[in-house]
Amino acid sequence: MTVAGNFALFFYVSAMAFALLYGGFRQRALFVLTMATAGAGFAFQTWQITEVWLHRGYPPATNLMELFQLAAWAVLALYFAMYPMTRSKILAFFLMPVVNLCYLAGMLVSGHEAAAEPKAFFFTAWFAVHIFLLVFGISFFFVSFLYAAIFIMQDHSLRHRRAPSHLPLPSLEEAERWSARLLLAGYPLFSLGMFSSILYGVLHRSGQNYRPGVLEAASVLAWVILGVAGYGWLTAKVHPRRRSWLVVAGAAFSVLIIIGIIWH
Amino acid sequence: MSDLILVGVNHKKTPVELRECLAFGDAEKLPFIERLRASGRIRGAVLLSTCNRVELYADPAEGTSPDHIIDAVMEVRRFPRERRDLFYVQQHKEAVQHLFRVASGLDSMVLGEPQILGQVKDAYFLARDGGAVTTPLNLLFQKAFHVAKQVRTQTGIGERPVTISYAAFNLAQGIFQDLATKRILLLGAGEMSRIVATHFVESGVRQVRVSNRTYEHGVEFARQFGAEVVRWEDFPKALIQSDIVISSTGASQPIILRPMLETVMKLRRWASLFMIDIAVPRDIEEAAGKLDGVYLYNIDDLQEVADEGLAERQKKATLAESMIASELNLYARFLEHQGLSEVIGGVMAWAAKIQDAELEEALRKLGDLNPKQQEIVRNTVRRVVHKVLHAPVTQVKRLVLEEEATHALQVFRELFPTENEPDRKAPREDR
Repeated sequence: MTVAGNFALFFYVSAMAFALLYGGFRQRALFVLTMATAGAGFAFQTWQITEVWLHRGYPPATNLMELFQLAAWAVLALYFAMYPMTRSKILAFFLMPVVNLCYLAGMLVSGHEAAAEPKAFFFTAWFAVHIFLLVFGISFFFVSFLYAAIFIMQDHSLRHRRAPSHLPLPSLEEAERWSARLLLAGYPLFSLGMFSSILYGVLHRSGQNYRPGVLEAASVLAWVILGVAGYGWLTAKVHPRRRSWLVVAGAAFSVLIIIGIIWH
Repeated sequence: MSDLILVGVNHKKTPVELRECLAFGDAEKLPFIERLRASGRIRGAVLLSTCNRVELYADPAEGTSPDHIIDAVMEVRRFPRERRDLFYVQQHKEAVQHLFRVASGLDSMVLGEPQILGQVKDAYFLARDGGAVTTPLNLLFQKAFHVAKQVRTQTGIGERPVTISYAAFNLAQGIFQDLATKRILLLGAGEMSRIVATHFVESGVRQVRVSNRTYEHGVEFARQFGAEVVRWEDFPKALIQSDIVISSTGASQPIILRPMLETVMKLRRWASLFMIDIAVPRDIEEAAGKLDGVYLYNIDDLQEVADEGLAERQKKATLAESMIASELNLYARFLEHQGLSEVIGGVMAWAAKIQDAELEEALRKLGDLNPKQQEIVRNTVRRVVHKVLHAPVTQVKRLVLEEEATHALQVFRELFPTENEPDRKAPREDR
């Protein structure tokens, strides 16, 4: 990992600590520190990604560590972009541990080294488009999943005649709205990312980049489930609680995609 | 601690019919404080008058006792003389602690309620704008606001609901993002229903509809909320456009059954419906509450939420009390520091005044000294004065700040005069 990567890790761990403290004490200063340290970590990681990309000539997303770390970066980018609209401080409490988990998990799994003989596909614009669409699509699904999980938690709490939890969670209505928006925004990105790789394989008849396996099966399954959830939202034919469960299931299959990547 | 005097009555000992005798409207507060100031009894005061308490926090003039203030209050209010015992009096540290507890909601009828802080602030601002807030009162109230905020944010004492209406409102906040845009339907015109609906309306819900078996009663009830009236036979249709339903009819059988609500929910496209059934016997079939998107609560459910909230607040109140105790000590130390700085500053100024006078006299007597020599003489005298005062000043600082020996400051004050009283113990000059 580069110096910038180490700095990013340091700031992400600090941001997680502040976010968890914010969950406990809910002091505005703690949230400001969370955002400041997360922002610093994000800046360092952006620097790291750019540095590696320029050095290699293709995006740093060709091994598991890089993919995990890119996912962490995309999730954080999405949170920063959403915050002015949602003003959801408590989301950082759920999100920062995941960002750190992705970042650290990337370091713990095998396959850190850059590909010895990079495939020609890596140097094409197709690869950059494929990776960024896919990673951003998954990050949209991931935050949508967080909101869906919050919906289920709130629904459970309200059905059991309990006052809303100690954490200032968003209301059912807000959780549902954001879960839907993110799902519907992430779906085209994920679809394009998934099919761009297939299209490249077909167009170049190489066959190397398109091999049906666990990865593809899990991707298609996640794609179908999330599609059903999205359809449910668009048509309002499925109750919000069931739609939230579908998003959770879709996210579970997204995890399967990652497992698929490990096997691939 | 400052010479603060607090006199007051509150809901704990004084019944409402006597509290209302003492209550002050906003327009009456300043004239009363002014009257007290004009009588020379106080330098300044803040008068807090709410439905549960009337309290006067006064910065007294020398020689003023709490009895003088109680007499003044009873003079302007028709309060029975024989019930003078209902007044409580607190002074110095106890009065400060009381204010911290009041502002934090720990002394309120509903433990931890947030409105009291706003009421204390209003009382303070009114007095401040009227020029009735002296420096000690200003420091005290600023500190009280800070403490109350700390207590509220760090313990979260006001978060859980403790009344049925607040419980209902709190649950609704868990369901809807913006209650101001939601529509309430009141079924029946019961008292409890009115209380709960009032809470929602006061919190910003604007669209209220009322449906009652007797249309005329419904119209009368609706007038209280500026609500629209729906004919009883049309209420199932009104359910489709409502987000919150509060039901308290006197019906002996449920009026909303599961099949009816199933249809309503389909037509609502599963948008959440918050239903509060306050009636006994219940108006809404229990099975209807199991439908997706329906959040049904009866009076016992709401009471349970309120009871849980109260238990939670009581737990948090213990933490809040310890926070207040620690803030009280900090405040006492702060005032001591402030007193210490003032006294030391006064003594140093007194010494500097003598030093300058003596220096001028000496330089005059010495005659033709060049500027360098003059500078040497000046610096020598200054060093001597500082060295002489260094030991007692350091000692008194140590005693007050480290050993909390507040009497040391008093002794220091007695030993050394300050700038404003230079002749008290100044040594007679031998000329």
